[in-house]
Amino acid sequence: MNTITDIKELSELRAISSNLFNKYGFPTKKDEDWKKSTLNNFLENNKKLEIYKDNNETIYDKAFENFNHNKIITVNGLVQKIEFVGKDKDKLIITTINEYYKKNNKHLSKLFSNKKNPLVVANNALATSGFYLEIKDNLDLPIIIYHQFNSKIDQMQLHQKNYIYINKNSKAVLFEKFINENIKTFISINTNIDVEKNSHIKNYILNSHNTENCIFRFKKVNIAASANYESFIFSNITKTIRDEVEINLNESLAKCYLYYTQFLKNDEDHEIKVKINHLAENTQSNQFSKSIIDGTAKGIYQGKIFVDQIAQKTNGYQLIKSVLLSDQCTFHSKPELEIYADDVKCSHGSSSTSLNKDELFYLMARGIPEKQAKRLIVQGFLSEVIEKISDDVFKNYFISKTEEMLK
Amino acid sequence: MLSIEKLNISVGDKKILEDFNLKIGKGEVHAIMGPNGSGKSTLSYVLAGKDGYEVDGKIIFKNENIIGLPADARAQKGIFLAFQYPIEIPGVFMNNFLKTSLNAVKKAKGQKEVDVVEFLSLVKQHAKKLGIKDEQLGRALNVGFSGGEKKRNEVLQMSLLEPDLAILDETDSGLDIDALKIVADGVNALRSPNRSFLIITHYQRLLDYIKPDFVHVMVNGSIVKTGCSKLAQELDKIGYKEFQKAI
Ligand SMILES: Nc1ncnc2c1ncn2[C@@H]1O[C@H](COP(=O)(O)OP(=O)(O)O)[C@@H](O)[C@H]1O
Ligand SMILES: [Mg+2]
Repeated sequence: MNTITDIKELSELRAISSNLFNKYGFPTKKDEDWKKSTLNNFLENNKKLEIYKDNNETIYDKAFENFNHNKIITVNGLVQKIEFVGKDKDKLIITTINEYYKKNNKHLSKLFSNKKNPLVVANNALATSGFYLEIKDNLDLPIIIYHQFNSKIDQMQLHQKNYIYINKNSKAVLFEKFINENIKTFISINTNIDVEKNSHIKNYILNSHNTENCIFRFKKVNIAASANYESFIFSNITKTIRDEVEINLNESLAKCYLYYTQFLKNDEDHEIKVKINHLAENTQSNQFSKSIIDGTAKGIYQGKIFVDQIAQKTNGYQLIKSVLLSDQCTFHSKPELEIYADDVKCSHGSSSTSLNKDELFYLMARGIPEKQAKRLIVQGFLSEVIEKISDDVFKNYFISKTEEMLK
Repeated sequence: MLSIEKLNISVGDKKILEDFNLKIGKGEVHAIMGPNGSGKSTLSYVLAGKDGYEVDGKIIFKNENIIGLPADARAQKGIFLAFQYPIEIPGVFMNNFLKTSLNAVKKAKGQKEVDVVEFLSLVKQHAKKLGIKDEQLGRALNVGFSGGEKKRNEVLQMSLLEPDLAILDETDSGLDIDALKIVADGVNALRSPNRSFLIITHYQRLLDYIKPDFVHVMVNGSIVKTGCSKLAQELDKIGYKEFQKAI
């Protein structure tokens, strides 16, 4: 039931993607956008991963948050359980992506249009699961999506395609939590999000405890007039994850805020790729990322701001900071600006430093042991981003996650 | 309390302190005065345990040579440095920092650590005396503090930690006369037969309020003259030129 059956229009689109995928294959280091990526190595070494299609799953319920929320549980890409609460029941629709395709094939071409990004093309060709989620009105409670992946998909590849539609004048918080068992799987999740006029969506993501999987997450977000998209991605203990987002600020007063914090140790890595397209007047984008890197870990941030010639009075802001705690860790930041309008305010800043010795000395001179002093500084550094989270419940949630992480 | 013997400090080829000697007894207040660049701050950093200097000689504190001990251990043993330029640390909040510091020192001394309630009442009591507003205690450490607020914050930390040896590095500079009085009152309140002070200053002004037992003149990394509190007044009139010539 959950798998994507073949509707005529869809099979045509997927055939195109299949052909393209056969031509491209998985990305390699030769591809400009994937030069520094660590996903290449994984895909290089695991070329023949079987495609996962099964749908009989068991739910791991220990990961549930203990505050009131609307639950969506997917296991190995398939929605297995839904629990909407109170009045929110009438404001939410969820179906399999397949059901959605059957009824609304007018959006199909949009969801399958990417012909450039080799892994999105692969997703178009190979997706076997996914959901359609519609938010019709202001929600009382946050939605939490528990993305669970277990040993059934070990040594396989899994492609999931989702579509989230936020109706006009709606406010919602959408938190995504990833729960991975130690398996060696390529997981590709492609999510399209449409934020309609005057809606505000807060999309928070916890990347944690992923040491074996290779995860590629691609989000495409369309933002309409006076609508906001705020995202925050918290990454800790992650290996081989690429978080990619493409944002279209399509109409006047559309805004996006993209916040990231990460703490990478040992041989962990995490890549972030952002592309923001300012396509209308008076649009605003904000990127703020802070990373702590230790051991031989590797962080990457590629952020591009594109400003169309009609997008006058654009505001584009990007600040990428990292602190390197060891000699062998690395952080690459590649900011890009492509601007065709003349009345534009864009700025980008990037810094990579080691831990400030004077700050450390000050704290130690007050009797605070070195380890604890370092922790205070690191926590302080990351908290500048976390303080930006506009939802107080999740701000506090991530503050306590940070404390936990630094213990 | 403190005995510094033949202390030599250098960074690379640059010698900053040469054959420096100083003894501070229990309960004594010593002042060091000297022109800019004479090595006063470097001395204070090395006493507090900052890395990055080649250090030779002896620093005996409470009968133990502390050279080689890290800064946290020295603070726990009772050395406190009020910085000339207190650093701003974004994201590290005052209350959290002060409580962590106080409990680290208490723990090392084998005393009972304070809980949040005890801490807040203690810190507010001290802050009030120094004219520090409660609002400031909720801010990030020194971030956006004025020069005077930073200096008062140093004195606040000193009164919380109750050190055996307090080193004040130009705590008076940048203060107007009212703030200077508040800071001096804060220091005087801490004077006790068991606590010693080393007050580094540029001007005699502060010493009108905190009467030192000894005044030392430091030029080019060494003490060139020692006297009683009158020496400070003389220096204020004649300046350091004479001593600089002598070297
Ligand atoms: N880390 C360092 N490296 C090189 N020179 C230094 C260093 N720290 C201080 N100095 C030099 O040592 C001298 C004394 O400096 P400082 O201790 O700050 O003097 P004061 O506090 O008396 O004004 C100055 O000439 C200064 O430039
Ligand atoms: Mg100085």
